[in-house]
Amino acid sequence: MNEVPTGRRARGVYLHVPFCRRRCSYCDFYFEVGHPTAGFVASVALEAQARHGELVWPAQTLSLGGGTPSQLGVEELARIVTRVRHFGLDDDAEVALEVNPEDVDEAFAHGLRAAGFTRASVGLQSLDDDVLLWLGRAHDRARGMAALRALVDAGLDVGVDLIVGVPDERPTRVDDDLARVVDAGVGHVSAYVLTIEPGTPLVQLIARGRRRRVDDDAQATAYERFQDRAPAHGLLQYEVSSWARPGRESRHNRLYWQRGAYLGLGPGAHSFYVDDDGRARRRHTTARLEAWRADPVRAAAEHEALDPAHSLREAVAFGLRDLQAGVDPAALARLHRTTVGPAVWRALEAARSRGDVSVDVDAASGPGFGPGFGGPAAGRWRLTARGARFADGVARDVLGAVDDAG
Amino acid sequence: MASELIRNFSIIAHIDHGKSTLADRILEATGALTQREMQSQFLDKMELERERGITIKAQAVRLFYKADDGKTYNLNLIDTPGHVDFNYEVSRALGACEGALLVVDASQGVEAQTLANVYLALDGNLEIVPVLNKIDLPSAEPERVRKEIEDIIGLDASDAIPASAKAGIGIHEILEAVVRKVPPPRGSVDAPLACLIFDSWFDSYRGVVVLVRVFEGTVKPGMKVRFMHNGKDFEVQEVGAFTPHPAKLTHLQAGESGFIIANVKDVHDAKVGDTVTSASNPRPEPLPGFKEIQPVVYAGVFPIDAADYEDLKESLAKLKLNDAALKFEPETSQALGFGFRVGFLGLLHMEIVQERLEREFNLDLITTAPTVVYKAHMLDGSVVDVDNPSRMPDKVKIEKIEEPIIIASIHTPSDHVGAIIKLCEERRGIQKELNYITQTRVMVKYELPLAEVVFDFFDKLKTVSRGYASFDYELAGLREDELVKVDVLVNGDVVDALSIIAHRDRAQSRGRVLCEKMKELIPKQQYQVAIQAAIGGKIIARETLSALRKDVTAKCYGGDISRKRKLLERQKEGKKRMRQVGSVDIPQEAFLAVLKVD
Repeated sequence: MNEVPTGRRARGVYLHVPFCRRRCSYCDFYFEVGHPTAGFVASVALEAQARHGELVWPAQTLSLGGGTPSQLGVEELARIVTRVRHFGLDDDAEVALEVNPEDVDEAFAHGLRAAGFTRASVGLQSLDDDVLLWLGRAHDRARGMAALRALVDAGLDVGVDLIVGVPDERPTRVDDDLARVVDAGVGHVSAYVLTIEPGTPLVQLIARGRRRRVDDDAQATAYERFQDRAPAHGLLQYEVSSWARPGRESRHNRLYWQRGAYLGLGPGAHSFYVDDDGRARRRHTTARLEAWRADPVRAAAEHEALDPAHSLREAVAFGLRDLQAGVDPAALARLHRTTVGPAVWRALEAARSRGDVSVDVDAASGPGFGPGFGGPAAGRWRLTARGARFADGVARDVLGAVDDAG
Repeated sequence: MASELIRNFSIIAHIDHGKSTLADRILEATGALTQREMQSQFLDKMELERERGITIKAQAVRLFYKADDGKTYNLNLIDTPGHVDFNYEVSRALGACEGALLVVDASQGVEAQTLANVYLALDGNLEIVPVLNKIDLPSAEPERVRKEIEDIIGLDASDAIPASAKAGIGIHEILEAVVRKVPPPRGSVDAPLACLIFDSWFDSYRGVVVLVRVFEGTVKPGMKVRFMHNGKDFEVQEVGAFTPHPAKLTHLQAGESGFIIANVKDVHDAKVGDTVTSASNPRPEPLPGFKEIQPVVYAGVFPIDAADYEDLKESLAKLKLNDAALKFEPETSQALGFGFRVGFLGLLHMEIVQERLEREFNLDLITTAPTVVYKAHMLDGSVVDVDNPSRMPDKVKIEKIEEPIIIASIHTPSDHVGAIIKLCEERRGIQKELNYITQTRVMVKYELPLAEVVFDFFDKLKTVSRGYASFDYELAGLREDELVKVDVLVNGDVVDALSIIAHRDRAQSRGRVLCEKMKELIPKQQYQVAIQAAIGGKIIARETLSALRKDVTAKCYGGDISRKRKLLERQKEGKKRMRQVGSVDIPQEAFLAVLKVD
């Protein structure tokens, strides 16, 4: 594998499946309601054929997100996996998709397994009916539990998404949810603090007094409680919003934080890789479903190229979010064909002195770390559990750590 | 031109009563401007003046008018600033005239501002020609307003001219009245030169342009002239008049108005009110009435971006070229960095300067709350002028503090008099007079501390009177009072730019409001922040800003990274514009908020 450029060592494929049965009050991802899925897979195949040269194959992960990938039938999903495997997927590749509890029954779960999926992430949000009602979800606890059991029984790695910090939730809700999902065999939890995104129905609902507004302090308490309780259930935090049993972390999600390359297919998808010149290159397919369907090969897209120093700051700022792997700034600098400037080291040191990040110094790297000590260390820097609550502040400082010209 | 064919006149009006429109009509009627050149409010030269509908600088235009008697007259129209901040400039501009048109809105009636300027004109023995403007409006009540002019000002208004500058009604009658009623200038062309400077400005090509009214003698190019207040001599290069376009003339003589260009480099050598005489044959005494103008209101002006300091310095220097009243000196604030303490004639002047700096020189500025000049009498017998609250000496060393006071004349419909009295009492006012001028109009005079007026008095007055009260003031010396400095501390550090001076009885409540405001405006930090108000070492109010417990967005996947990076970078930029006190970031709005504390 020596010919694989360093910027494309870790590689994944993402497919955005924009179909939804209905709109969720909190969601600001791209989705469409009420569109038939017929022909979608054929369009994906056309786009993949035209754009497969952007990625070095085989890929190690394939992930279907949305929208709601489980709006597609098992057969359509199987054809997608086959199609991507045609370009190359590692034998032990992670093949994952997001599913909604209401779409899952035993047949569907077994069908996924047969189609080659190894992993399913369930949009559970909670197993507390009051919380589900607040969020306006279509399923209840019973439906959620049934979906989890079906997927686990089919032999899939099952993860769930939870939304925490919902106004009026019982203080012990987080504990109950954790106990129930782990008991059901779930090995991965993404716990998102409820964010009121502009343009979502929740904004209106809150403005009209139909939902109570979120309280920062209460949300912080809920998040801290989650951080506090998860380890007792065998779930270790490995990212700001991600917990897993050891070995059950999402390899695909880690690509995002660790500067892996990914090819994004479908309307609204993002693609990324670091070019041989050290520039970060992004492509965002901006075309919506109908335009993309009409011509998936030449659908409208935006491109971004960040110069190496800028790209490095971004890589460090977001790489810190991986609480276990962290980032090695010096190695990232090599990837981006640049060096770590003093300002970035200063920002990291300042965050370390606040207790927001920690660093392991690689013994082989020399006498010390940081600027002025025989060169920066090849240590790995990562957010601490406390730092996870201030990840944006740390990222802001790293992103703003621009060295004066000259 | 023979003196008897010259008329020097001015227009006196309250803001919005139509002065500039009338000036435009007169220019049009005398053919000074072609229709094509007519731009509304021609005399309001600066963009800012036209936009705000106010006159900041005086102007003089030479017009020719063929009157009904068949003779052609030279009319010099001298436009004046309308606002109290520029009262002195108004008095000098009026000093250059023999007559004035008094323009009163036929529905609004006489306002305090009008009165102040009429009294200036009467003091100067000017012939006043009343004009009832906006006569075409349905709400016009010419008879009531005519009576008001007689009752309030004591002028015979029986032949006041009904007019509408906007509709072009009465313009001919006005011009005829100027010719008939305004006396021609007196003075001898052979006497030693005596010119009154009523405006001056810096022109980057010509140097300082000096607007004068010649009272005695003749001035022409090549002549050596002397500016009497500083004794400096200059050689005249050019004389002329605005028609309204500048036109060169061979000479200006007694009775005429126009400009002199004499290689003057600094506008401070050509101060309004000064007398220009001949260097070889000087007058023994200057014309009366000159005074140095002193700023009455001070504020700190700081660049938002410290890198703009040099630009700010240069811009202030450039503004000063055109504004002899502007004073500034460097100031350093712990909270705001390097900037300037700038002296202004009043609040409008301050606003105008700030706006011009931001607009014409493209600077982003923080202006601190305006403050007056306090006199601190020290126990050791010395007297310290305090133009910046943070520099108030330690109170244990002070024997007493005096503050400038004003006499405010408020003219209001009688319905609102109660609310106005309440407002003035709240502002530590002492009532001096209360007169029912007519059954429905009241004139109230209050002695008020200037400091109580520089905040938001005018806005409050407009509110309590629903916009009907008008206000004017004159400085009236100093008054001793129980004044204390209130400091704001953020986590124990004094934020110098937030210090205020307040009356002892109100210090506590103002301190509390300040703390509450700061609590709203300072973003949460990772630790608890104490916001306190203190007099000397004594804490009089406290608010606690609770710690920020999380600063993180939950989701950060493939599509989020780029968007999120841009957002965080923008936030970081925003943070750079905040000011750090200790380790706490304070946004600019916090400094401006001090202004609005009641």
